[in-house]
Amino acid sequence: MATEWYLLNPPYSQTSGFEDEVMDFAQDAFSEALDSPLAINVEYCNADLSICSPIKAIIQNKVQDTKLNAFTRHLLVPVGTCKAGYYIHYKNRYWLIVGLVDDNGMYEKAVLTLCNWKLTWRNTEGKIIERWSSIQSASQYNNGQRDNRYYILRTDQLLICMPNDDECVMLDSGQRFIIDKRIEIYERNIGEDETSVTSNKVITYQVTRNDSVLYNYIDSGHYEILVTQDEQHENDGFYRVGDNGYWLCLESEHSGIIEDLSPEPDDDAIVASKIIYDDDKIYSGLSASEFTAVFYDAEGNMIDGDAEWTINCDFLDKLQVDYINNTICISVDDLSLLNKSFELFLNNDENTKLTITIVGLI
Amino acid sequence: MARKLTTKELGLYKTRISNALLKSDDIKELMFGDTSNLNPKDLLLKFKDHVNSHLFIDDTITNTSTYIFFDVMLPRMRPQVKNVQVYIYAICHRDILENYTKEGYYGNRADILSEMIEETLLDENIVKEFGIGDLELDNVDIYNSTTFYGRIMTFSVNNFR
Repeated sequence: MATEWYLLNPPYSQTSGFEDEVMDFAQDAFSEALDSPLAINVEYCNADLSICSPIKAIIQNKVQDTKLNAFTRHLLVPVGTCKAGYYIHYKNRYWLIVGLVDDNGMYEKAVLTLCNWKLTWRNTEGKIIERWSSIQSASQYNNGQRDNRYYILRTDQLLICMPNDDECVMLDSGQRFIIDKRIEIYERNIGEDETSVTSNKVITYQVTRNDSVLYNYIDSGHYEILVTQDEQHENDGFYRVGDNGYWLCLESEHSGIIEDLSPEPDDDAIVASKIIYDDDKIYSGLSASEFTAVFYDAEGNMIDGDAEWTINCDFLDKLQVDYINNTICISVDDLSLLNKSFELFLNNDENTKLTITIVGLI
Repeated sequence: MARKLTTKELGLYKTRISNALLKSDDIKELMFGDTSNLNPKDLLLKFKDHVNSHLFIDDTITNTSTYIFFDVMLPRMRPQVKNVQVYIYAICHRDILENYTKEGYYGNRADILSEMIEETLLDENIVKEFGIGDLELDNVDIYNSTTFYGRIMTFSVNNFR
């Protein structure tokens, strides 16, 4: 402040000079707006929905006239909150963040596109992958038929936007999907004890083009593929794996026929699981505490398993969480959370519940 | 909104100081030597044994070690502002006072430790966490007992009441 008093041409200041420039308070002003009725609670989710953090946001572009604009929303959040390729769960729908998220010093804006289909496929390791995707037509002006002299085929092309996590990026040309809303009607007539049903007519598509670089923003981005309608194969249909049913195309052009639908990791083999840890406390401001999942079979031998972690607390957005294989690393740097506790669950099993307390070094 | 408690700094600053001291690799190396083989939990226990948030020094300490004791006081309260003082005792056993050197630092082990503490607390990322303006070092005095020797450092900062 003192320099401005004696400069011949002092810099223009909109404030009395006792406060720094307006932008010093801009982000605080936006935070206050998030406490107003303008803001709503949404969830910020990663690609496989294993981490969903509640956040407050302002959603714009809600009331639109045209069909295409109705699929788009604008999300305003504090700077540094979100990245392209993640989901926002809003009003019971998943929306994919597309476009590079950037800020104007006050807030950051993300463009959301509605995910209108949960795409399901088997990856090269046999694991079933599901991703909410935004599907739009890429061939609006044909009549749906392609014919030559001897036969008529159906034709359609769809452009699919999805997150750019590893599973999506590894999708290759030839991968096939079932994209047909009729499966919801067919499922009503599939019994609990039926393990596979391939008699229903479904519309299938095959990946014919993939773009992993066009929407790559280095630290974020989303992935787009173009799928072309093909003809249904005899193995395309409903398969029950574990307790869940999936609509899958088991044959793809480049991977051949996958004869055995390998079951998900046999959960019956895992008889017990527990969390191994050094301390059930996390020291605020210090390095992360690690919690590792171990699984045992009926004979008490340690076996492999997939850990799914759930954290129950109302300050999840203040925790830093990382995953290394079956270990979850949790750290926090917020003294206002001292002596608060939260619960950590392994695979939603009440028996593995661990109560963790955030403490200070003193 | 509830009024912030006047004595909140007594505990809050201690937590910030101990976190800052633990994060300093130089201080850990001076006090414990090579800690690369220690797992985080053992290092934390060792740290808590040698860094205490009170000024009570047990006369019966026989370990030839280095210790840091600190406390926070509120010596003066005015209607709007209070003065917060941090006292830090950085002391070493007399038998290990002269056997430590480090490039860039001068004096005996206690001198080097006090310089490291000053660097840590006045680091730009930490110095502003203590009230209005920066935490300032006001005074460095001598601690002299039968078996231990070191420095008494006084930091101060003002904060709203």
